[in-house]
Amino acid sequence: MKKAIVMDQKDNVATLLTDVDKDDVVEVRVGEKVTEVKVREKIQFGHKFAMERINKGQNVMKYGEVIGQATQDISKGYHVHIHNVESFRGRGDLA
Amino acid sequence: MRFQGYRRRNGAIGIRNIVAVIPCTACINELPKIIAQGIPSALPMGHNLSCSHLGSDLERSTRTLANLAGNPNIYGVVLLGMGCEQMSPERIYQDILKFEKPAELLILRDLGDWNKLAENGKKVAARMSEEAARLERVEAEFGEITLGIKCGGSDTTSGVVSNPVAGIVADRIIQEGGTAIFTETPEILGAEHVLARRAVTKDVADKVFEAARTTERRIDEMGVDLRGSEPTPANIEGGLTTIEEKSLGAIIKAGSAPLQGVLNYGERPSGKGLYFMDGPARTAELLVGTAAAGCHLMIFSMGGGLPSLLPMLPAAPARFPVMPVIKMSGNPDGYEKRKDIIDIYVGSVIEGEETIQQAGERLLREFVQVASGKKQTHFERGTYEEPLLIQIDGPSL
Repeated sequence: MKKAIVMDQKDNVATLLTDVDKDDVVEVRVGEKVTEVKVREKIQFGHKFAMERINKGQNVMKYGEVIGQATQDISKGYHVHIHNVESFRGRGDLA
Repeated sequence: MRFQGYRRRNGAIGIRNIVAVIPCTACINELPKIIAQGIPSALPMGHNLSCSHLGSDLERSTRTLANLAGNPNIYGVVLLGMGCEQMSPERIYQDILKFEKPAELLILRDLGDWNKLAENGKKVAARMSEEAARLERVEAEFGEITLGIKCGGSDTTSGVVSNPVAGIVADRIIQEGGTAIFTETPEILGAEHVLARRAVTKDVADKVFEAARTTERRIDEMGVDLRGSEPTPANIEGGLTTIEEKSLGAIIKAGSAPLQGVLNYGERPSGKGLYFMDGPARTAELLVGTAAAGCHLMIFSMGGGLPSLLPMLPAAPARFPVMPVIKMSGNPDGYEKRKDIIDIYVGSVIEGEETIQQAGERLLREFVQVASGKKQTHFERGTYEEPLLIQIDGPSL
């Protein structure tokens, strides 16, 4: 079974512990609980996918903290990375 | 837990027994190499400092050189000066003497001759090397250890496995009365509020925020988006999306103890427990800063990917045997390719073969072996040498 882990109850992303293909069902551990999520695209080991729909402008949460903001709507099961998340910090380009 | 180490005159314990040959200025970096040649346990320690620096850079580097010489893994010091440098050899020498270890200062101006300086240096180094060889290891308490913790070549497995495993060792050393130091100010951006909550006083919390603010302001002044440098391209390939994500995973390596204080680069902690050092993440500079702070040994927590294929460390290609570094990786992906250059593999947690706690116990056992001199780490066995890098902020003139 393909596996992933959610670091904190407040998170809206999971980290993959295996490579996955489109439509793979992944066993996701959240604390003591395990749920299943269907991943909607091919994503590599160590990368993240959305555990729920994340709207454009909404905070992306991991470790129970904000790790950035969605730059577009992200549906459940899709890859969450630099193509759809922006950082708030070290933004000298915006200063 | 206990280990075997070398008892120093000032009561400290060392886990290695080095004779350091240190120049006060890079102008004479060649001399330590000539002097240390062929002398067992003698280590040439050339570096990047010369008169071309100003103010706080000079102050920091002078302090760092003296404190580095004071590292308990160093038995004795041959200090070499020109006599005209800004980093006063006499002041560095006096600061080294406060550590109550054998130290001798030789100055080119006084001897008036390069070859004579080399000859005298060799005699002193050879004598200290013989004295050092007569010392035997004695039983020491785990609480006497000062641990350095660093993560590098990070990916998302760092926050899931190897940083939590490093945190277990940090917590254990602190529980037994010891000290742990972590640093890398750029890699607390986005996680400084989490660290500040663990500070023992408001003053310490304020210092955490101030360190992060100053580093972020300097980044902003460059007019660029930090992403691409933090996280690095290799971090991004490994799945880390933003500096916030990297930082939140990075601070896990420091365990769960209360934060006792914030140190300047190369500064010694005034007490025991967990300390944060305000300094760069770049490995070569970080190694010098943490060794100067008195760290005996460093745990280096790695992900996978290209950085993990380096025989030494990312951003530190040269050996730095003052402080053994235990390389740990928690990424099972491609582990076969790097198993000969990693000291301890904890990807077994991801593979479901052990728990984080069990991996932590295994790392503790490895730690005792390395500290007691029963095992050398991969990084210690390196042969390639470069001058040490000490942090410089201002212009090089």
